[in-house]
Amino acid sequence: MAGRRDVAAFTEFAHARSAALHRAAYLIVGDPQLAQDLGQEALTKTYVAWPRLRDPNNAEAYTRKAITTTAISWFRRKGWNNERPTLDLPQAASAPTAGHEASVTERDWLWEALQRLPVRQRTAIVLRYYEDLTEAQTAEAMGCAVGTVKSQVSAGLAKLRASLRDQDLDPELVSVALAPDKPHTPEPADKER
Amino acid sequence: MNDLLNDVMHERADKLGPSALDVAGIVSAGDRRVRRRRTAMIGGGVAALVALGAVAPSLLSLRGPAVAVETNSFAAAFAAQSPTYAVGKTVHIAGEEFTVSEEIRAFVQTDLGIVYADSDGFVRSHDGISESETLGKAVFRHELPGLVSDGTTAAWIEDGAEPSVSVFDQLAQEVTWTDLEPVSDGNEFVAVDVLAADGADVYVRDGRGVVRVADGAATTLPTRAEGDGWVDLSDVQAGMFAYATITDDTSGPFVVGPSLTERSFKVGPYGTTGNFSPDGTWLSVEVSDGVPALFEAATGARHELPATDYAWQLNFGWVDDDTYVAVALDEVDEQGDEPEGGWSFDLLTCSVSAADCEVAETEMNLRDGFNLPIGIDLANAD
Repeated sequence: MAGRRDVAAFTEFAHARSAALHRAAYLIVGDPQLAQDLGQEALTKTYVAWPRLRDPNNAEAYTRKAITTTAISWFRRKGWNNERPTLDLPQAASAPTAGHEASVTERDWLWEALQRLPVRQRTAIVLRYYEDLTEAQTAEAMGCAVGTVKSQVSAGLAKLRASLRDQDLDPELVSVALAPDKPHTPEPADKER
Repeated sequence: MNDLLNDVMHERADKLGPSALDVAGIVSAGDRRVRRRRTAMIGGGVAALVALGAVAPSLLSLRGPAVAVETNSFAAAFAAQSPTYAVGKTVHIAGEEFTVSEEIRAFVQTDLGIVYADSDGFVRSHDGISESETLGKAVFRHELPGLVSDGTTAAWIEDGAEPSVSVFDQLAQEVTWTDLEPVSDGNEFVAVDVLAADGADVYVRDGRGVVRVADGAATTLPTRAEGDGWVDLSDVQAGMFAYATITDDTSGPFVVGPSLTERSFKVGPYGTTGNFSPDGTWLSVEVSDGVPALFEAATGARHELPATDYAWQLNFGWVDDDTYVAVALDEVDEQGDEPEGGWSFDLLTCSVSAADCEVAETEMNLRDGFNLPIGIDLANAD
């Protein structure tokens, strides 16, 4: 990657990675249009920083960090309630039906519960479980300490468990769905994503 | 482990439609930001020349209507880092003044204006013409800076249940929040504090020690402090650090070095405070109460200060790489008691190379509501 602002190289990077970054942004903000705006803003920051980024891995890490820190800033600046209401809450599963319908309802509840988490807890969970980053990589992306990542993930999972229990979902499913925290993952030598 | 959670996230992500990537829009917006930064830097240079009278009168006569003159005058004064002070809601700079919306508890000066906290700690910025919305809420601790600044950046510890630092880019009008680690209760003197700014990098102390915050990411800096020891960081500029290392049993001297583990030279005993010139060449310090000194940061050589007849002087900031700003008192009695009618002092600008000081403001009265751009809540400092 050249030191100057190489538009062609940036364009290639943006096209190659935008879909994956868009999906991660969506999981963090929970709204397709907002995820679109977030991805656009993160890539703009990446373009401005492009001469400083020496290789594509740095660009990927920089953009991921831009997504997470920008999302957290947006939520704080705009005063969005971390426990914001969602548009289409599924019917309470107090009497879950068997089979596929119950599974769909449980999945919907889990998604809604995830979206109601405070943004930093949700971000930490998305990076750890969806992006499959290590704790150190997650800390780097969020601009915080590894200890903070651990506490945010732990608190987020605890809230998800509590939220699902509140809905009287199948206790067995809850325990399987949200077992104790993901064990520490060693640093990958060269992780392919 | 957490298979369902993982499945749900992948399922939702996979159902998401394609992103409508607008690379041309991104490049265009990015280029605008780059141009805006360059323009601000060049504009700052031009403004400094104007403030120094180095621009031909014919060029100055091309000024536009009154409103534009007002705008330019404050922008030029701030870009030139003209000495600033505040009384109540009024900020004084370069012989002019403007009013902010709330009483100023503490403030700092940037290349573009001021960033101030009101009595409740709410932080706003002002460029001499307009004021921002509330940017956050700063934490103040006794006698310590609640706000720090350098260039177009200001920072403060955000008031909240969990510690975080807010870094404000006044050029972009953007605040970035970075989480910090709580400090354990082991040392009553140590808390989460904002310490210094060097360009866009901000230095804070949290549970990890001294931490550099840059681009929203926090990096812990290695220090010599061990156990319950800690580093008392006074200033950072152009990569040079002025600090003291406090260990379990001893308070180390005030030193200067390229890192918190390296010491280039000793300035004075612990308790000394200092601030670097913008390029890091000079370190101005208060070696004892009301007695300033100047050191060359690269060598540690003590440089003779311009002589003044003041009994007490505090160098608190720099206009440029050669000129520092000071407040000075004619008389101080042995007890340091405030005289009837309050302290009366002068505001000075002093040139290192010319070995000369000029009085920028005279016989100012240090009464309630007076503030200097050092980020400290002066009303609650001893």
